[in-house]
Formats: sequence, structure tokens, C-alpha cells
Amino acid sequence: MSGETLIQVENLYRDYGSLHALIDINLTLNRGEVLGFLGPNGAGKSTTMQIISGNLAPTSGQVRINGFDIIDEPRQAKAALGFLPEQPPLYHELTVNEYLEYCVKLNRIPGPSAASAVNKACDRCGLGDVRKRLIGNLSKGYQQRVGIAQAIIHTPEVVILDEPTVGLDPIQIREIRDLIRELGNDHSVILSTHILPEVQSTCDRVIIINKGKIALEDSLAGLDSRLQQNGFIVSLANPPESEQLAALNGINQYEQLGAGRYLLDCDKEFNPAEFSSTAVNNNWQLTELAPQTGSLEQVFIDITCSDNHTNEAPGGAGS
Amino acid sequence: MMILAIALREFRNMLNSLLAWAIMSGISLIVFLILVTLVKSYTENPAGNIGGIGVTGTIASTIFYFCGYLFVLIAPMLTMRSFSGEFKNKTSQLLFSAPISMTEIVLGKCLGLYLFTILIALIPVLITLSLVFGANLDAGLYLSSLIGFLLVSFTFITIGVFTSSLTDHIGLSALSSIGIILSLFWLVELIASLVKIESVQNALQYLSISSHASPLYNGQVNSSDLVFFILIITTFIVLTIRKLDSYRMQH
Repeated sequence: MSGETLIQVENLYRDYGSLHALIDINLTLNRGEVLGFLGPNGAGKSTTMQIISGNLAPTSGQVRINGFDIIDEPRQAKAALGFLPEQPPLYHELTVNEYLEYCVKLNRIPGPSAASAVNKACDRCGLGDVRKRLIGNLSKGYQQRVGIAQAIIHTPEVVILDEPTVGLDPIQIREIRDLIRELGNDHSVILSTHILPEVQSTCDRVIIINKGKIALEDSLAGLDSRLQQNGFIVSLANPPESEQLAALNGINQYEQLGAGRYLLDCDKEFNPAEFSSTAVNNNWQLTELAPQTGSLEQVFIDITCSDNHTNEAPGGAGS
Repeated sequence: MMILAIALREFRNMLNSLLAWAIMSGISLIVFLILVTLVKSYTENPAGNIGGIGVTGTIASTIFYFCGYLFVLIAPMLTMRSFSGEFKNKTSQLLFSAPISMTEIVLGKCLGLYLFTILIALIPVLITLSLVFGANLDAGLYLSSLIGFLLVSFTFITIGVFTSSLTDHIGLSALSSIGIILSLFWLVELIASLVKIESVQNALQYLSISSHASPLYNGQVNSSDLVFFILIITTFIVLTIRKLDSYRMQH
């Protein structure tokens, strides 16, 4: 049943005293989807995760998980939910096995299938070697994996991971990302992070949140096409007159970046092959021709900083 | 089922904690010293026992009575981490995002701590049972004293669990439970003795834990006293559940 809605968040508001942490958050998540939840520090990511997981009550609004309201029918809703908070909820004085066995019980998995649930979660998270060790003695990366194992042990429909790769080394980060992608096959995943490459490598859809509001919602494919700005960077050892360059087919505008180096702003008619042959024919001595792909980072900075400008007139250091 | 899982976890946590073992060894020593003192004074002057209540009354009941007093300090030490520790280490999120209700969580925690209290109670029980080698114990008086001690300590434990749910500061949690326990155990009686109005005096007297415990230590099991203990334990359990439910609202 693909396309089935597993998480539905409607008109979510959350105030901390006079501070509005979340303002009208709406989001849906379908089965088999990995949703990247992006935002700068303090944007309201963790608050949203906490509310969706039932750890925090919203000031107003509704959260439905697998069709069950998290406030009115918490048991059914939480049964369909696995949550890894920002700080993994680990008992350091327990061994990995003891801890996961406790999690199995908390998630109401009946006795006979408990052992196999623990085994499966350990296998998926690569915990086989450390199962008899105390959690407190494990490295941060392994602790994080135990946290993830805890979140998926009852094979929930929805897995919520709040900054799962914080503090890990690059190899561990890659392993965790692979795991998240794998989870995306049969679970729905919400991945909250402020690390952009993580989103690009794991997510199907992206929501950018800033100052408690959703600033952008798009699929990663949509975002990519948005990023594929029709720009090219060219370097010419023997550059022509500027008018000649501007007159070429498909070039709207150009910007000189250095001696003989230009950023061309082109439309769809621009053909790089045609440009290179023109360059050769005119002996411009082409040394570089590269599509200028915008990064998610730019979109992110554009969105979060432009908002900074409009909302915070004084003291806006970064532009 | 869920309650039992949480209770066993809490019980095992206690077995893993150094503090709990230190408490148990401390109790063993203190109870043993009291026993020696009481046996010595009893054998020196057997006729001088209070009101002719025999070995059980003078020695066993007194030890249970004294253990109840010790629990004013011990219960907060056992319970201070129960929720404060979970809040502090953020492990509370594991419980709150699992498909279990606050009621199950609180009952589980309390049950686990009650079980551990029973384990601690085995120390005075075993030590006082050693009296059977030299004397005949009054089983009725012995049991009612034991019930008195257990009810008093369960009450203190529940109060401790409640204050632990109030804060993520472990020391503060222990301190405030000592405050509430002392107020209910002793302070209300002190105030009652100062108040001149009889109805207020009676009401305060009724609230005092020790006034309901002393008949039990004397071998008198009144259903009204049992009801009082059940009521006060239930009250603090309900307060804890309410507190945790509203925990999601604050911050």
C-alpha cells in the first residue's frame, strides 16, 4: 500500500511562554518515504520531533500517526512509532542485550518473538560484536547505533531520527546513512538534521524549517531541478570581446569572475557542445567549461538568511 | 505485564546501584546493634518490659518501629533517581514514546521499589527471627509490626517517587521528599498538639502517619489504619501520574 499517509501533522503550534517555537506546521509523510527535516539550530526541529513522538504536547494542532491521534489514542499511535531523540535514551549501566530486551518489553512485543526482534535489530545496526558490553563503555558511534536499534526494534511504520549522525566520525556517518536509506525501504523515516549532504544522500523529500515556520517543502528531485540553474563557468585563455560573448545563442547575461573566467547565465537554448566548438573555431582557448550546480546549501542559506534580513533589521551580521 | 517489566527493570537498577547496597549494609549493622542492646537490657531486667508485651513486643516490634524511622532517610535515597534520573539522562523519552500509559509507568516504578523494600525488610526479619532460638515469638504481634513497617515504608517510597517526578535535580528530589515525609510523619502531630481547636486537632492527628502506624506496632490491625495507608499511597500515585501527564505541557 504505497502512498498511504502514515504521519499527518496539521496546524501545529507550540509556545514556550511568550516564545512561539512552532507556527502553523503542516506536514504529511507517506509509506516508504524518507523526509529530511532541515533547519538551523533553534529553528524548531527538535520541538517538532518531540511533539510527533508524543514527548511534548502541542499548544494547538493535531498529530496523527498511522491514523491514530497521538494525544487521544497514544498507545496505538506510539506502537507505530520508533523515536531516536537528539540524545539517545540509553541506560549506561546496562549491556546492549539487556537494554534491547527491555525495549522489546516496553513495546509490547510478545515473549516468543522478543529474542528474534533483538537479534534482527542488532544485525541491522551492526551490533553483533558488542551485545554483551555495557552501553556506557561503548564509543559514541556504537551508542548511536544502539539508539537506532531501539527505535526500529518493534519494526514500527514510522521511524523518527533526530540528528542521528551528530558526533560520529565520517565512516560511522556513512554507515548510519546507509542504514537510514535501508530503513526507508520498508519504514517511513523522518530525519532531522542540519547537515545538508546527509539530506542529499538519503532523503526523498525535504522540508526546511526556519524560526518555527516551514520555509520550503519540495521533493529532492524538485529541489535538484531548482538547483540546476542554467549556469556555466567557463575559462578562456584568449577571451573574446565581451559583446561577442553576450551575442552567443542562449546567453542572457554573464559575469566576469577573473581574468578570462566567466559565469554565464544561460537559458535552455544554450548548448555546451555548441559553445565549445565556437570557442575552438574562434581560438578562444577554452580551458574550463563546467555546469554551475547550485547546492542545497545555497537554497538553505538563501531561505534562512533572507528571512533573517526581513525579520531582524538590526545587527544582521551575515548577509 | 508492562507494569511488571518496568518494575523488574527498576528492581534490577536498584541491585546495580552501589547506594542501595550501602544502605542495606548500613541497615544490617544498625539493626544488629539495636538487637544486641535490646536483648541485653531484656535479659538483665525481663520484668521491666513495657506493659508485659514480651520478647516480640520489646525487641521485634521495636526494631520494626525503628526501621520505619530509618526509612524517613532511606526511602528518599532509593527513590530520588526514579524519575529525576530519567529526566536528567533523557531516558524518560524512551518511556514516553513507548506504547505505555503514564499509569503503567508510575505503577511499574512504584512496584519495583516496593519489591526492593521487601528485600530490605528481609534484613530486620531475618535478624529478629534469630530470637526463636531463645524465646517464643508472638506470631500475631510480629506480623502486624512487620505489616506496619512495610506500610510505612511503602508510603515513604511513594512520596519519594512523587517528588522525584517533580524535578530533574536528584538532590532536590531527595530533599523535598524528606520534607514531605517529615511533615506527614511528625510535623502534623506537633502542630496538632499546638492547635487549640479540637476539630482541627483531630484532622491533623488523622493526617499523621505515625498515629496510624503505632497501633500496628502494638499488634492492633485496624481496618481504618489500613484504609488510611491505602488512601495516602493512592493519592501520591495519582499525583505522580498527573504530574507526568502535565510534564509534556511545560518546559
